[in-house]
Amino acid sequence: MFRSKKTKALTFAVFLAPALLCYSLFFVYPLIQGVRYSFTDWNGIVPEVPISFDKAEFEERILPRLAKTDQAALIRVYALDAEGVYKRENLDPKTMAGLKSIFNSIGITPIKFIGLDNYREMFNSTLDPRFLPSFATKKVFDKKEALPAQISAPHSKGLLKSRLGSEERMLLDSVYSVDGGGRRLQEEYREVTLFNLLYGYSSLDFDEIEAELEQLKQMAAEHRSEQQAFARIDGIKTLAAQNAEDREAVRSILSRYYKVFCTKELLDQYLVENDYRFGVIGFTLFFTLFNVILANLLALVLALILDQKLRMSSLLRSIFFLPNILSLVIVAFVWSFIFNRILPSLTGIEVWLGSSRLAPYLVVFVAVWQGCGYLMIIYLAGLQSIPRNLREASSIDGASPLKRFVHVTLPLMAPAITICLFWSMANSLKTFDIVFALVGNSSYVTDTTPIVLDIYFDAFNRNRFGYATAKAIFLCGIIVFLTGIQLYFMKKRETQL
Amino acid sequence: MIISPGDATNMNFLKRLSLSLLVMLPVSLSRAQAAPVKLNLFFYKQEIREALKEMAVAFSKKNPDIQIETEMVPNDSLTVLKSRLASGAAPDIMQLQAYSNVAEFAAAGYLLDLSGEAVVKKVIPNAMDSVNFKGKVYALPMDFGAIGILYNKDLFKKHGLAAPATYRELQIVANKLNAAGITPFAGLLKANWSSGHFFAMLHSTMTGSSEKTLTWVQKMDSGQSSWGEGIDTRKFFSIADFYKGNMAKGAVEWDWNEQQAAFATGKAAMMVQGLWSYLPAIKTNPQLNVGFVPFPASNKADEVKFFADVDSTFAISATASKPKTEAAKKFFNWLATKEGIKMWTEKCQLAPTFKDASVKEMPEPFRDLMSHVNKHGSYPWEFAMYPVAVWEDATKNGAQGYFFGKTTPEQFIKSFDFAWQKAAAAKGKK
Repeated sequence: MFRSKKTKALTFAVFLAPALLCYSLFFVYPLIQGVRYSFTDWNGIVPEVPISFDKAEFEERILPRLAKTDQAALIRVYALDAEGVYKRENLDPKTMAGLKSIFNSIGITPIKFIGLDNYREMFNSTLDPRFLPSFATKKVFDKKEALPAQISAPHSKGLLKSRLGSEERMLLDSVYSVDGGGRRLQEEYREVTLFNLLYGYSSLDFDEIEAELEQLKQMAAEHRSEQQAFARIDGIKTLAAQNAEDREAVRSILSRYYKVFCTKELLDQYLVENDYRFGVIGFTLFFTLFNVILANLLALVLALILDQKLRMSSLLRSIFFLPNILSLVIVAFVWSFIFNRILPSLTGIEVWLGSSRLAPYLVVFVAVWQGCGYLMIIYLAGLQSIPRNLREASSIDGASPLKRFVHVTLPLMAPAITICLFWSMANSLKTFDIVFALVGNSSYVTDTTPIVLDIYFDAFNRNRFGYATAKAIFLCGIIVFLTGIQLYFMKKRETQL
Repeated sequence: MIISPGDATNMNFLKRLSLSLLVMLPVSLSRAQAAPVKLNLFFYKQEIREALKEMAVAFSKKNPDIQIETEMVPNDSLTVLKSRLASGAAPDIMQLQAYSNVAEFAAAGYLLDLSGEAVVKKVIPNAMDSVNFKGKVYALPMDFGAIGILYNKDLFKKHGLAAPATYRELQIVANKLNAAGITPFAGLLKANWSSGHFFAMLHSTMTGSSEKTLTWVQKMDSGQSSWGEGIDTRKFFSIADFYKGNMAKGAVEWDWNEQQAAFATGKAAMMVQGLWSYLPAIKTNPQLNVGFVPFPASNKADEVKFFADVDSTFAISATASKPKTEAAKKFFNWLATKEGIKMWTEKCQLAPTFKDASVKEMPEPFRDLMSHVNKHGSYPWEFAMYPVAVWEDATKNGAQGYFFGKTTPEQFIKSFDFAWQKAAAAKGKK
């Protein structure tokens, strides 16, 4: 079709120019501002346009340094009040922006440039210990808790036997009886039992006893021998004041307490598994990897199934798409309910979202469940755009269903795959809402903090706007880099096929 | 940010967004009109949403030329408030958490100096520290909050237990409850703020007095002290262990709703919470018979006091126009009148800070609190004096990490001191 220069110019003026203007206004300008803030230590509270000035400061230090028009702009906004202070009232954004640049021109700003410090802090694990992945050992038992009533078979077999010395083995055998493959805590070593027995002897001086118990706990932590502990128990003054029978009984209680403390130390130390912490970066990448792969695989499989001539296919499509139209808050609410109430009573495993071992997988699971319906629709569209005669031709040529899928369907679906991978990768890298709603305030302890959540906490809980912006810029870089690589390779393949 | 029940559910996240959008509209429209003066009151305590509206109406009846629009942002209210301030659309009256938040906004110049106002003199003198910044008064202290043990009186009676007055009694109570198959403490570990409250409460209690706490805070600011100075850290963590050890097994997943449900239905006999959770508990189960005692961290009964301090305050924006400022001051004066105080205590059910206020009409736990505090004194809310990052991150996340078994005592102390140093250094630069 012939188009004159005039039409082209018109198209540009009507459609492209406004778009470009909006683009620079709403994307390029904020981005540049963002990069600027990322080099500062701004806390996000102190206003860039001060609210009040002393009279002297305003008249002598600020006004003289400004041009006439700028002076007038300031005087329009700041008024001298009865107490000799120049004050401003609420301003509209335009005036605010104008004043901001006036103040910036004479160096009055609460924002201090600190160079690359924010970026350095991010990658320094002493300054920000949660950002980068780190290696640690994870405890199965924490000595703060009461001794577990049971030790499961794999734990008692695998972990305990390999590393224990003979004395430790004897201690364990006396406190825990063997029960099938695992072990069971003897009734006489339950702390509740011991406590009730001990406080039955009302003539004891409990201040002394409690101080001694703390000492015994300390001795257990220092791995002193039982003889030393028993000697300490024999030296307790309030015991000497009891009659012989009571003395023996209390002594036995205290020595059992010591054994309990020692067992706790032992379990605390040996019931561990080597583990690593994702950190913010690690979890973001973990989430992205699994979410992209699983959501796309599942969506592709669903799309292939629903592309068949099934009776219920349109109903099924709606059903699989349904999670996508639910608000994420509802999704999180429903799944929290399932994880907190239903699964514990079904499986006997009590802690789901609160466990750092399970929580990362559960978060991915919910995200996949919620997101794959959308991808499925794109794949379906891709499948249905493949001309039927191509598939029929290949089947007449004798290609098996698998061969037809690999050599005909898949290559023709390449554009859909590219779009889906790109979309889900960019979205996974900046995931926020699902994690916020599912694990919210315990995301650091369950090791499920994606980078956007970390940025949110930095900016609004810890008042570190500059630092949060630096992380956001870093994230922007990661997204551009990863999706760029992915697009490059996918596009290349698309043209080859 | 201190959280009252608002933090409880994540549902509020969306509500917050839509609310703030909705409310921005009338704010911008209200500028065009000359009379009557419209005030925008921004607050975060969701349990007084209805009551505060009623108070605004009652005030407008007396002052027909002033209208007050109340706007509640329950969850992460500071996030919303900060962005409002930064964009130049400051609310005329703001409900702020005492101490750090008041000081921080005052330092940035957002708050009006109230030093000379008559209404300030009607406040109990020892409440004034909480709104003081560089010798000037920047807000009106409004309610006393307290954190302690809420216990189920009927359940205690049934098992022949008395309210614990010392740590040892608390241990005995917990053991007897355990033996009877009742969870002693309804925990709340999924959200980090409750763990943070517990740590700050224990630390403040073990430090021993307001004066010692204030000196400690000053020393921390100058970098000459550590979290563990002046307290027996080993005892501190053994009490924390005791607390965690007496929660239900799945308590790491308990949030506000689970905690309230367990307490209100009698599955758990006690909860360590602020008095603000009394009303929701009563709403869940109107038959509930609740008592309130301080958390005993000591075996000496005279060292056991409530962890109580000024909770919320009202402040006026420094950028509000003259007529609005005058109107807001009128509202503050009305708050201190008989009518204002009566509505505050009876409708909002918050413990008042005015000298001539009476709490006779309030429910029993409030009277428990006021009489105990009047007789024995209280320990200050030291977390409200921490620099924001120390409270929000080092304390809340650190304490939660400890209860989850992720952070050792040494790590907690180290990161607490480090965060305070960093905050103090940042303050020094400005």
